[in-house]
This record gives sequence, structure tokens and C-alpha cells, in this order.
Amino acid sequence: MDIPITELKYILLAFTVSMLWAPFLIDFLYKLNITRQNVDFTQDIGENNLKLGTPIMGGLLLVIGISVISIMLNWNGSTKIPLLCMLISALLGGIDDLLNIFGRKRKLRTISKQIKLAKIHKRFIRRAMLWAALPWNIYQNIWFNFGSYPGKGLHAGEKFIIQILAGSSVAWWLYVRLGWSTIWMPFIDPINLGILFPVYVVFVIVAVANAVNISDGMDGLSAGTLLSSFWAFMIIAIERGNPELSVLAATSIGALMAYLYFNIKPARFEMGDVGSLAMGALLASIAFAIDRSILLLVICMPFVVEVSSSLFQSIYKKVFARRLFKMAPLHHHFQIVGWSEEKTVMRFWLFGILFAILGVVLGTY
Amino acid sequence: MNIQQYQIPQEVKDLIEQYRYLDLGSQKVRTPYFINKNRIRGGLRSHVGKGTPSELTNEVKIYAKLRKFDLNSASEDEIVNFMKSEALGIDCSGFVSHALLAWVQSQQRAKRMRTFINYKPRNIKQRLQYLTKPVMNTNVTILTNDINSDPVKVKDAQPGDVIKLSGYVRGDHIVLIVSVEKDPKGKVTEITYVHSGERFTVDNGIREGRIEVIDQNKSLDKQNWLEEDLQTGVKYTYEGLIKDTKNH
Repeated sequence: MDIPITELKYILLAFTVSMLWAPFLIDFLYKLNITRQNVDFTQDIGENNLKLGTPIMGGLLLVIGISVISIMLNWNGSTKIPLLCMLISALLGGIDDLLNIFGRKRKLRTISKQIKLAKIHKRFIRRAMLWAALPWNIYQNIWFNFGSYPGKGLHAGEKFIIQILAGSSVAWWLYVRLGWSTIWMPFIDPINLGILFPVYVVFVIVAVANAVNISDGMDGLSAGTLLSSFWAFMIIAIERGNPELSVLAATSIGALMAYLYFNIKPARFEMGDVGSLAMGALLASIAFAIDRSILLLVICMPFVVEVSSSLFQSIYKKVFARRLFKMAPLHHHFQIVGWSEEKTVMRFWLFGILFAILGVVLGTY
Repeated sequence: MNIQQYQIPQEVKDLIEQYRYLDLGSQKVRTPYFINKNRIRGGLRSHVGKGTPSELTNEVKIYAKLRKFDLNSASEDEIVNFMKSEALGIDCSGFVSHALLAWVQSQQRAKRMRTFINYKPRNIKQRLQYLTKPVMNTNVTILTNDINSDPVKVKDAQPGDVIKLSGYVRGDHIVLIVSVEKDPKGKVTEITYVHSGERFTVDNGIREGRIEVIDQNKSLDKQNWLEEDLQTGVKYTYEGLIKDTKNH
């Protein structure tokens, strides 16, 4: 393999551009008071309370940097849809971040109360609206029963629908426009999913985006782990002979490095949902575009472990009324056990690098 | 005089000891009383008065870390108050359930509550709840109903029997008999019980009490109950507190 000079140049470009405007972004976020508020109990773990007042939505550095450079220099058939998916996810995340800071706490009506109101309200129009809204109310209550409590931001059910929309753009592109329906597998023949392929695409993109979002709980954790993941996919894209996507991955790496410079403890800003959802969606989209989506399971292992720990904890608590881990996601468990934040983050980085290497090796089969 | 004493198995004694003195590093603290009066559902069982000693210990340590409460430097009273503020404790039926479970497990007669307690679920949802969270769904009524227990007379009392006390403000109460003393003629002279009791000023939670049996042919309410509040010296006998006693 030749030295990927083009990709390295894009890394440097993205890094330089992001570093130049990051201080202005930090200043802007402070001025608008887009900072971490007193929102959940995890602030009481370790030194998390010191993060109160740290600007969030630092992910804008990534989203804007990657978008501008890619639109100006790498706008083509291979990169349009991954970027669109990233931008839809970023929009969702941005709205959620802003609502969490400036919005009001929203209550969720129970199903029985909704039905009761729909039966007894004195105005016909209001009764009709309540009945019409009942399926949505049931949908939201299902999420509530799975541990998603309404707060100020978007409800989990609402986020899920918009994420499906983002994933659908990639699914449409791959299945309808390109006619893909198979999943590449190492060592064996590709598996043909047929009509289930778009479902698979949407599911994976939503899962990866949420996994990165859940992992974004410590300074440098998700950014550092994303770096190794994007590196892995950049190498695979080069090896697959897909220069547009390798350059897109390289741009992401450069922007992430600049972001990480400011996000290492003590963080000057945090990614927020705008960054975590966007980068997760972009990573998954790139993986699909180079036909190596199955490697997400290996390359993104730290994220898989984090989201799995949350899922298993939630199920175990619900079913057995006991804890499986001391706290979920897993990085909080290590904090409770006594690991320092720096130790936890760096071990996750190492873990991420190892699995990224493994993913690249598997990608050659 | 040759007094015979009948006691619970060592495994149950060990469990009671673990509840009596939760191991929190440098401190050993008595588990306070807690009852799920707000009927919170879907939470951890240690937060609704039904946790095991190890679960309670873990939760105390987690919440101490979350709230930056120094367990090593706090006094026992401070730790107990901290536990109460975080809804960590054990209620009467939770304590007795775990004790009975430890007993049958030590005898290798059952591994789970649902093996020896009949819950009589009325629908699928209840069946699933009793299957996965039996202790959380066990209360005084279930432990002492006609399906799961038989009434016995004072003269036939044995360790492992429970006493149900009705008429409390918050519903029924249950205590576990841990030893029975008999004189050489076989007459019951004293019954010792343990429970997680609420009605004590400074030392509610896991407590031991004694009943001096004056006449084993009379019911429990006619005997001499000796449990005493450490602070006030008031003896919490049956009179004035309960309407009825049955020992099951």
C-alpha cells in the first residue's frame, strides 16, 4: 500500500481549519449560555459536577468542519448521502441539546388518562384530537416503560423516528439507487438480505449513532474512540479503492483531532448530541458505503460494549429488580468501582485501537 | 435445670447477622426499617425494602459515592439516616422472606421463593412478576395466608414459625421466631424472635425481641412481651398496639 498522501493532507487540512475556529465556537457557546446544566444524577459521580457550566454542542466543530470541507472539495456521488445522514442526525441532536437547556420539562400522560380525557372532554374537536393522538401516546408510553423518562429534550420515541429518517436516506441510496442487498462477511460468502436490507441499514445506523451518544459521558471518551474507528475505515476504504470515502474519513479524523485537543480533561467543551449522533451516523454510513458494515461490530467494539451494558442493565433491572452492573453505561461502572476518569478513558482508547486493528485485519479477508 | 433450646440453622443466623450489621468497610451498621409506602414499582428491590444484605451494602456504597458521603468518617447514626434518605432499608416481610429463603436453601429443599410460596397469580402479568421478582411481591398477607401457612398454638411453637401482628397503622407486621426455650417438662418458657421493626425511636430496623411465656395454653396476647425501646424504655408488648395475634 502506498503512503496515502491525499488522505494525510485532508487530515492536516481539517485539523488546521477546525483548530483555527474552535476558540470562536467556544466563545460563541459561552455567550449564548449553551452550557451543561444540572440535569441528571451522573454529575454526582467523581468530579462530574465540575463539568457544570462547560459548553456543550462542541460537536458543531466536527459537523460544520466536515461539511464545509467535504462540500467544497469532496462533493460527489459517494459522499452526498453519508453527509446528508450526518446532517439530519446533527439537526436532531442540536434540537435536543437546545431543548435540554432552554426547553420546559414535558410531562407524559398515561394511556388510561388519555383515554379517559378522550371520552369525557366536553369539546368534540378536543375529543377527536385526543383519540387521534392515542397511538402516539401509546408509542411514547412504551418508551417510558423501557426506562426513557420525559425531560426537557426530545423524547426517545421522537428521536427514534428522526433517526430512522436519517438511516432511511442511506438505505434508499444503497438499496434503491445502487441495488445492494447483500452484507459482506469475512471468511464466508456475502449474505443476501433481500427486502430486509434497508431495515438492516436503518437499524445499524440508528444503533451506532445511539451507541456513540451513550458513550459520550467522559472527557475525550467518545472522540478518542471515534478516532480509531475512523482510522480503521479510512484504511479499509483505501484498500477497497474508494478514494472519496477515504478522504471523507480523513476529514473526519482531522476534525476529531482538533476537537479532542479541546475535549481532553478538563474539557473546554463537550460534543453534545449534535456531535455524537452525527459522528455515529457518519461512521456507520461510511461503513455501509464501502460495503464493510459488519466490521462496525468489531471496530466500534467500545461503543457496542457501552450500549450493551446500558441495554442489559435496563432489562435486568426491569425483570429482576437488581443491578447487573454498579451503573450503566460501563464507563460509570468503572468510575463507581474507583477508576479515575483519565484511566477509564485511556483504557477505552486502547481497547478501541485494538479492535480497530482487528477490524482492519478482518476486512482483508 | 435442663432447659432445651431450639434454634434456627446457622445459615439463617448468618443472614440475620448480615442484616443486623451491614459491612460498609470500616463501619458495621444495622439495616434500618424501610417500607415502600409510596408503592413505587419497577425499581430495584433494595429501594423498596426487599433487598439482600449484599445488595443493600452495594447500594449504600454507590450512593455514598454519588452523594460524596464519607462512610469511613460518618457515625452509625449518620449512616442510618443517610440510608433512610436514599430509601435503603428492609421491611418486615422482606426480612422474613429472605430469612425463610436462606433456611430452605440451607436444607436444599428449594432454591427460589416461588418453590415454597404459593402466590396464586390471577393473570399472566402477575405470573411473570412472581416468576422474576418473587421477594418483591411477597408481603405479610402472602406469607401468612391459609395457602402458605397453618396456625399453631403457643405450646407447639418452633423456630422458623412466624408471628403476624395485625392492626398497625401501616398494615400487618410479621416477626420470625428464631429460638424456643422449653423446660425439662417440655413446656415453652420463652420465645425469641427477630424482625425489622419500625416503631422504635432510635433503633428501628433489625431487632431482636423476647416473649416470656407465662401460660403456653393461652394465646400470645396473654404472654409477656419484653422488647424494649432503648431510648424511651417503653416495652412494645402486644397491648395497646395490636388487635390480634396469630402465630403461623
